[in-house]
Formats: sequence, structure tokens, C-alpha cells
Amino acid sequence: MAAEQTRDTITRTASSSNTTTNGDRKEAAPTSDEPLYDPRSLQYLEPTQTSLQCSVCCEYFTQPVSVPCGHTFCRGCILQALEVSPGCPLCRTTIDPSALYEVIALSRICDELPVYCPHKTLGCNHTCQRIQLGKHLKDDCVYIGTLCRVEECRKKLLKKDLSEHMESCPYKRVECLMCHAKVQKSQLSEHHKTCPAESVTCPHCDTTRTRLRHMDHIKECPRQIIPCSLSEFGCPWKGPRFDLDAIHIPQCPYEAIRGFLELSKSRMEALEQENQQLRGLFHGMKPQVQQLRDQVGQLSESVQLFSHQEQQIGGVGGGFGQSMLGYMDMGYRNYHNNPQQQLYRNDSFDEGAGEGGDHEDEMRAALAMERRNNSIGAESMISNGGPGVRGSVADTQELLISENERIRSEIETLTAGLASLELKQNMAIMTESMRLQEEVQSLRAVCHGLRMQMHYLLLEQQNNRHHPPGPPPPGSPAGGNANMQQGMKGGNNGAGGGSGGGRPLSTSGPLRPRFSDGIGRQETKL
Amino acid sequence: MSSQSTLLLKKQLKELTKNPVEGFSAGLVDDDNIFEWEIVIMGPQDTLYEGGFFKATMTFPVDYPLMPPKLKFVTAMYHPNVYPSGEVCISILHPPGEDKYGYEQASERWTPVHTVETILVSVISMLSSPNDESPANIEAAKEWRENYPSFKKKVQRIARRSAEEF
Repeated sequence: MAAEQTRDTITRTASSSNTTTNGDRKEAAPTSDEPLYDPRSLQYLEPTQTSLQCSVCCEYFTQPVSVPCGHTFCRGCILQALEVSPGCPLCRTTIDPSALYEVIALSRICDELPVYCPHKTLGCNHTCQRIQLGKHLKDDCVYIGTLCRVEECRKKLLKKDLSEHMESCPYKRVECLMCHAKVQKSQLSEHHKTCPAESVTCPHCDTTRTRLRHMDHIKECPRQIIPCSLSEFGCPWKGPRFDLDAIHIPQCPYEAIRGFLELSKSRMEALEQENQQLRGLFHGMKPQVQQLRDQVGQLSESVQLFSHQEQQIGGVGGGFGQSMLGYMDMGYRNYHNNPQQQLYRNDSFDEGAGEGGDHEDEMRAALAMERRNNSIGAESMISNGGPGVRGSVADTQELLISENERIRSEIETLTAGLASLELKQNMAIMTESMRLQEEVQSLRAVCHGLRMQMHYLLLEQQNNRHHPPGPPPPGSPAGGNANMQQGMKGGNNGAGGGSGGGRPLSTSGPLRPRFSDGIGRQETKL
Repeated sequence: MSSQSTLLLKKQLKELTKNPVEGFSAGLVDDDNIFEWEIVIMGPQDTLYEGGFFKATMTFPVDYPLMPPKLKFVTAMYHPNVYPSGEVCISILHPPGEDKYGYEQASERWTPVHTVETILVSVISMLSSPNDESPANIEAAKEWRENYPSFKKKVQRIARRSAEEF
């Protein structure tokens, strides 16, 4: 709030000035974040005249306003005071903040008071009317803080020291006398070490040229010591460049078999790449195999569990689970005993858990061997350097090819095995579910029959209670009575037995109640 | 806001150091903290407190002069308008807008035109004529009203002791 007020004050001071120049207007624009000075901390030349001071801030008035009771305060001071308490700070008369009147004459008197430059402590002895202070600070005062004009430096310094600083600013750009490039002053000596126009002497042939041309020269300096162009294949020769073509190449033993060496190198690279690809493929397959194996394991477990229950219940299709199990087991045996699968030594699926690991180990061993062979081949090739090289390289290549072949066939069989497994699994699930469906249906039929019988029993009991047939109590195990009753009613409703679901059991036959058909059927439906 | 209060307090301190006012002296407790002043009030002549040197601290808020400072005696003080803790209770030190005591006129409370000098002049006047309508120390007020000789004796004792301690 104070800052705002201060800026406001300066703005107003500048605009009310009769002698406003362009510079002043610029200063008044809100482009500068900081006000140039704080009007409250000004030092005046004249001794303090309390009559020209605001009684709140005890300073000469800035933007004086009078309030209806006649007292005068700085505009900022009275507005702040009114926020806290609505009365005049001196006489406590209530004041409406909109009823403040500028005291123009007083404002002018105060603006014309002579003041010291706020940078007096730094050495500026300038004095002027208060109104002109902004212009002085903006244009004339050399004790005002400023920043070095060089972007990278931005050092804070006084305006009077700026030109001196600019001479020595380490970030100032200077021109390199050799290459005419603009370089920061502090990095000039560093630049001389890499300046392309600087002259350098070739360390090999002692000739001198600019650095730019030296870069090209060093690639063809005849005296530079270089290795044989076939050093990657093992040629140990080293010597000056002009000797290479003239003397060494005609007698280099590697030069004679250069074509073969390059061919085998490219072949080897291609093989290694293929090997890498195959390895990636194999690793990608592994989790799929594991997943399938888990699924089959779960399935066989559940089937086993089911067959156990089946045996206990003694149901219709009890043997199915076992036969299913047997079938699946056989499938796996066939799969694992496949003559192509020489690597698989385990022949039952139950031991399959260890199988993945074994297989992997073998693969790894094979790869290691291959790698060993490779390196041995390469070594012998390099160290022999004679006619023996051809044989060992050929061996290595054959070994690599056969190894690749083997891995490829293994992967193929694995893929085929996976597919067949999936098929079998689906079949098993389907058959099993059909069988279960049938089973459930037959069970449902049995349940239905039982429920019917239960109903008849209940109804008969109820009937007995309502119409006691004689001295024996209802529900008593007096079979004779019940039989007699049934016999009597059987005459009325002879075909009633047929409504009982069509499966009369021999034990329940004589107990079947003979009620009127309407009631009996309704209850049964319920 | 804080820079305004700092400037004003610095100005007052400078003024008081250059032209001391009779009856009290003022300085800073810690030279780096302009908001904490140390005051020594000399017991005014022709009052019970005559001859005493009473130390007090004056603490200014950051929004001074819109809000009043607090004045608290460090030396033991026995007066109807001074709490037993030493805090001075006079209406001009009570912030505007709020009337927690319920009997004060708004006209008696703080306004931003008060300075250290005007506050201390009020305090010195309070020492010579207590206001028993709003007692801060009830025991002292009662004694001052009902048993003046005893009050007088007590005050003279603390005035003497304060001079000895000083």
C-alpha cells in the first residue's frame, strides 16, 4: 500500500510540473518497478517548519488535502488513517473519504522546498526543488544505481562508474585479431588456443600452417605414424604414412587374404545378428509356455478333485474324470516322447516344473559353447595368420550354422506343441462341461420326483389332521388305517397316481393321498 | 507500511535525542530493533512519585502510527491505572474502533497523530492525577480513594526503591 501510494505521489508530482519534459513523462510511466525515491525520507535544506508538516507522518506535505473540519494531511496518510478510524486524527470529526480537497497552493509551496539529492550519502551534492528531483535522478544524478549493459554481466554499479566498468567488463566482447571473431574478453586467451587462424606446426613433419588447414593436413601428413590398414585383423605393423603404400602393403601377409578376411568378417557379423534375434524370440516364448503349463496344471487338479467327489457320490459318469486325466496324461507323454525333442529328458508332465529350467540350462550351455567356439576360431585365425586360418574359420561357421539350425527347429517344435496343447485343453473343457450338464439335469429330475413325494406326504398328513379317520391319532404309524383310507378313496379317484410325476416308487405307493385333483395339482405347482 | 513506521520512529528518535523533553528519556532496547524502545520516566515534581526513576518499555506495532504502541513498566509500579503486571492502561493507548472496556469515549482513544512525546506527556499527567473511573489495579484504586495515607506511603516506598535501583 505504501509503495503504491509512493508511486502515485511521484506520478502526480511529475504530471503537475509546469516544466515537464519528455524525460519526466517517461519516468512517470509505470514501466519502472521501483520508485526513484521515497518522498518520506527526503532531506530538506531549510529547517523544519512544523506548519508545513503532516501531523500523521511528521514530514512536509506530499499531495496535501484538507478535510471538512479544516485540518490538512497528506492524501496517503489521511486515507490510511480513515481505514482504521473514520474520524479526523486531530479533532475526531467524522470524515467522508470522498470529501477530500487538494490544497493546491500548499502543494506548490511544499513542492518548491529545496531538497538534497537522496544519494547525498553516496556523494551527490546536488540540491534542487522537490518537484525537480525526479528529473535529476532520471537524467543527471550519476550516483544512481544501474546495471552493466552487457547481457551476461548485469553487474550492479553506480552510473558514474559505468563507463570505467565497460572498459574492463570481463563479459565485454572483443575482436580476435587473427580470426576477427567476437569473443568475451575473459575468454580471449582461451580462444587463442583454438583460434582457427592461429598458425600451428605439425608435430610430425615440422611444417607450419593455420590451424584450420592443419586439421586437413593431419589426415594426410606423410610422416604421421599410423598402423596398418589391416590392423583390425591382427597386422602388427606401424610406421609413417608414406611407407604404408610404398613398402608395407606389397609385403603385408594380411593383404594377400584381404578378400577372404573381409568376407568372413561380414558373414560373422550377420550370423551374430541372427543369433541375437533368435535368442530374443526364444525369450519371448518362455512366458507363454509357462502360462500354458500353469493352466494345464490347474485344470488337471480340478479334474482330479472332481473325480474324487464323483467316486464318493458314486454318480453316473464317475469314471469320466479319470479317463479324462488319463487321456491328457497320454497326450503329454506323446508330446514329450516326440523323437525330435531330444533335449527333453523328462517324460511326464508332472515333473514338468523342472523341465523349463533344464531346457534353459541346456540352451545356455549350447550358446556358451558356441560363443567359446567363436572366440577360439577368431583367435586362431588371427594368431595363425597363415593357411591354417581357413579351416578353423570354416569350422566355427559350420558350428554356428548348425547351432542356429538346432535352435530354430526347437523353437518350431515348441510353437507346434503350444498349439496342440491349447487345442487339447479346449476339447477337454468342452467335453467335461457337456457331461456335467447332463449330470445336473438328471439330478434335477431326481430332485423333482422327491419334491413331489414330499408334497403328497405333507398333504396326506394335513388331510388326516382335518378328518380324523377314527380313534387312532393322525400321522400315527397305523399302516392298516392308512391303507384302508386309501383304498376307500381310491375308488373315487383311481387315476390319481399318474399325477405324481410318473415315477411311483414301491415304498411310497400305498401312502399316496387321494384328494380331489384340483387342490392337489395347485399345491404341487406351488 | 513497515517502512513508513520505521521512518517515522527513526525521525522521532532522532528528534528526541537532539532535543530531549523534560520528564523522560527515550532510547532503543536493541539498536537493531526500532520497534522496541526503552523509556525512563522521572517522577513528576509535587506528586507522590517525585524522585523516582521508572523504567518502561514501549513496543510499537508494524502498522504504527495507525495502531498504538504498548507501554509497560519494568520497575515496580503502584498506581490505579497501571496493571500489577506493569502494563499502562490509558485511553489514548487503546486502539480505535474497539471498545472492550465499554465506558470509553471514542474521542479518548488512539489517533495516528500521537507521538512518543505526546504519549509520555499523558503518562506523566496520569501519574500526577490518577483516573479512578477505570482502574487497572483495583487494590491501588481502592486504597487511593479510601486510605490515602497508606497509598502515599506505599508509592513513596516504590519511588525510593526505584531511585536506588536506578
